Amino acid sequence: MEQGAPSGSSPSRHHSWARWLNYLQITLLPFGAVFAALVIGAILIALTGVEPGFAYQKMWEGIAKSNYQVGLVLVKATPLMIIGLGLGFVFNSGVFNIGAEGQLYMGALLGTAIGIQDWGLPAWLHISLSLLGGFIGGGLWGLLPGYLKARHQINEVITTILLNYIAIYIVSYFTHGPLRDNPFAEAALPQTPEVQASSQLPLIWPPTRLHAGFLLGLGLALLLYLITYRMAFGYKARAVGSSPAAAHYAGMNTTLIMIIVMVVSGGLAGVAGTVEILGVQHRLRDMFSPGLGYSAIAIALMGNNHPLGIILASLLFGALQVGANNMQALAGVPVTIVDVLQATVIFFVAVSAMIRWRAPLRTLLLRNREASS
Amino acid sequence: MPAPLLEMRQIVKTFGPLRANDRVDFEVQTGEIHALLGENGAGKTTLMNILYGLYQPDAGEIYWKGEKITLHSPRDAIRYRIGMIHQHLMLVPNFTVLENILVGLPSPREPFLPINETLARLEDFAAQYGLPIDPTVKVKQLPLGLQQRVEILKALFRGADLLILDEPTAVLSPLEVEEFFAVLKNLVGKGVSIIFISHKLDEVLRISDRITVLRQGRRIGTIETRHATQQILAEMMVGRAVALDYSFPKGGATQPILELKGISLIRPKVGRVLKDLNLTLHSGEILGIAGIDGNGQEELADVVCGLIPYTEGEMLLEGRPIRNPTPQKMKDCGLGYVPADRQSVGLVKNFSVAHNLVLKSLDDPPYNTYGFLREKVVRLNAQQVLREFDIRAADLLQPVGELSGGNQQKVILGRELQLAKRLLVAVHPTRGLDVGATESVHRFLYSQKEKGIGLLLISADLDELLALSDRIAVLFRGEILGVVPGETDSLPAISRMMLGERLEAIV
Repeated sequence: MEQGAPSGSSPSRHHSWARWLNYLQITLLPFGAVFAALVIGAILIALTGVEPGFAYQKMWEGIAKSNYQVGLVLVKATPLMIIGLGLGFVFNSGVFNIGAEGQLYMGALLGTAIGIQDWGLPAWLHISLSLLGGFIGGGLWGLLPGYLKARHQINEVITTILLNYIAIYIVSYFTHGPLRDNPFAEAALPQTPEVQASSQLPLIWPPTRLHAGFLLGLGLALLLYLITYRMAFGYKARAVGSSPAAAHYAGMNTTLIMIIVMVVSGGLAGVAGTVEILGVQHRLRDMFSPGLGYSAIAIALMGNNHPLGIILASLLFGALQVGANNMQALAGVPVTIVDVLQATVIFFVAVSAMIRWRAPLRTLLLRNREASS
Repeated sequence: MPAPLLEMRQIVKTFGPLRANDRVDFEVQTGEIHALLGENGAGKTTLMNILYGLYQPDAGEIYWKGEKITLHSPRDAIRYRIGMIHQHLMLVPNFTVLENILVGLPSPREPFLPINETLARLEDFAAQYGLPIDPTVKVKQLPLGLQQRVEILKALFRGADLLILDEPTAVLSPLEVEEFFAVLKNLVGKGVSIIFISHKLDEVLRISDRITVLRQGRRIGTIETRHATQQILAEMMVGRAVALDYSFPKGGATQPILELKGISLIRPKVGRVLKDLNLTLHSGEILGIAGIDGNGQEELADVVCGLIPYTEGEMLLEGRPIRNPTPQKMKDCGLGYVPADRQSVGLVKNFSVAHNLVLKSLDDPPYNTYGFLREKVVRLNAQQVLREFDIRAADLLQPVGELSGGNQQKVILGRELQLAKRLLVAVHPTRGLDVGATESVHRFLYSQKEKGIGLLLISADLDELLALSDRIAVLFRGEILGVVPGETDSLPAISRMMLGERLEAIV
């Protein structure tokens, strides 16, 4: 295209136009997805005999009526944000980690195991050790599929899904066995004892439930932004994701990079699990996660794998969850409808992400076909 | 003049902001070979895809044998007896010649195939058109030249009054081109009309009756071939006067810089891709590697640049062996590499121009301090390279995938020439580029030789090799069949080696 595919008189104007359109697409599509889900939700709510306007009003009140509710939204958003950050990081490298759920469990297990120890440590040290344990637990659970993918080309989607089950049952074993609280009590629940006060995350906005884990999430977002967009490693990791052949050609160690991003993403899921225990639940329960590791996949997609987008998407999901609970309690919308509503949001987000990815592909194809004339 | 066989009037086709065809008129007379000439991106293939029903035009009319027609899909085109041979052949490699021809033919006894009838007719047909071929051979076992023959037979068999040939000689060696042209003449004698798409001036001048030139989507003109010269056509194509025949001064090689000793490469499931290669490249020398595509050229480049570990042999840099070369290690040895696939190997398409220019130096000073990329230095470097190599980009941060092929290639050159302190490997460096861009790429390559760098130039374009190389080695099925001086007199020997004869057998 030196004399080019006849691109008209002003190629540069065309390019900036196309780039703006792309930005617009990235920002608007998720909103469209949420809107579409709300419309479908309204129809379903109406079918249950509840007036949708009333239901959504209760939903909104649940999100923003009081500081307490806002705090609750942020609490719900926190683990999603931290997992989502790790997933965005690993997706940028073209590795599709579906194993955040299992990594979350393994991280929570190790983090809790440290959190319940009565070592008489100062809080900052005990918390740090627990979080580190969470990172290591999740990281190891990411290392295995990462290594298999990078060295032996074994599909990471399959291995990570399978490892999810293993992780959940390992935690089940520990909460029923070695780490069970009060094992000889009459009606002992499958859960660990409460973590030490010294390892619990401090509340930062009393009287709301908001804990320091939220700030940790924001800090991690900044850190990942710097790594991804300001450091040489981030450029390499993204090169591996968008063009593995080019990365290899450019002398990058693609194997090592894939393994590192998998460990980081697993580690962050592990940190998220630990934060959830140290900040909210205070004990590790059998089957404690309502699929956080799966929801976070949608969050990373919706946030376009960018830390800022992921923060916003996790806030949205936190709000939907808290609002939906309120809608269920006060408007009498059945809990299943609430589940459907959330699933619909995820569905539309996924579809909009696909549209976003395919559109540039289409223009590319046309250009190539043109160029080979 | 009688009514033309085909007339396309005022055809317009746009892709987004791109005007691929802008009010193009085009006509073909019965029994002529009409060449459609233009640079890459001039709109030739778009126009022909419209004629074959693959694209619908935004405006304009098509008249076929005097009647106005609308083509909704290739099925319509086939019904009107229009056949098209695409640049990339569309055969099923695992099927025999006969099976490939049967595919898509209507059968008189559905769902069974008319195997015996077709076989009988095919032999008549092949003889009649001078296209002999064994119908029982699997297509994947045939050389590209014969595969192309199968495509032509397939089109003729379905019935074709007009054949569209999209860059048909791109996959052929010089001797095969001769044979192919004889076939075309024969077809015209049998009443088939031909549209011959090309950007090669000499071929067009030799084979066609008339030539239509497109540039940037517009028809520049149609002339009778007997009135045309290379100079006239080149000016019509490019829009300005161009230097066509240029050759660079030869000689100036000094001491050996890179030696390959008995290099072999065996790939799983493929077998031996490179066989016992022995080559010496000198500083200040351009060593050309000729061969038909797919004879191990790209593997040779990948092996030398450390992308693929070789199976046997030894590689010496300035007399010292390099153990387990990797891309990183070879870069550190002062090697630059312009790969064959610039789109998906040479560049990260969604990275900016500036970042692609430092793709191999992300960890090196001055671009990296404590792991952070120094954006200012990256941009400064980009500004400088853009100026030096005349790269046309909207701005430094424009994604490199949005640039034209020529500008993408200059981005790669801009990066690799910085790294090429001792060696440069370039594979098909001007493939798909227009005349202007080709010329500047050649100058950049030659300037490296002047600096005393050893150049390994792998190309399928013999003119390019002859213009630049001091010596030319010919690769055939992974073997080097001979090395000859890079001069026009070597051409017959090169052509024969490209088809598998050893140099010793020729001389």
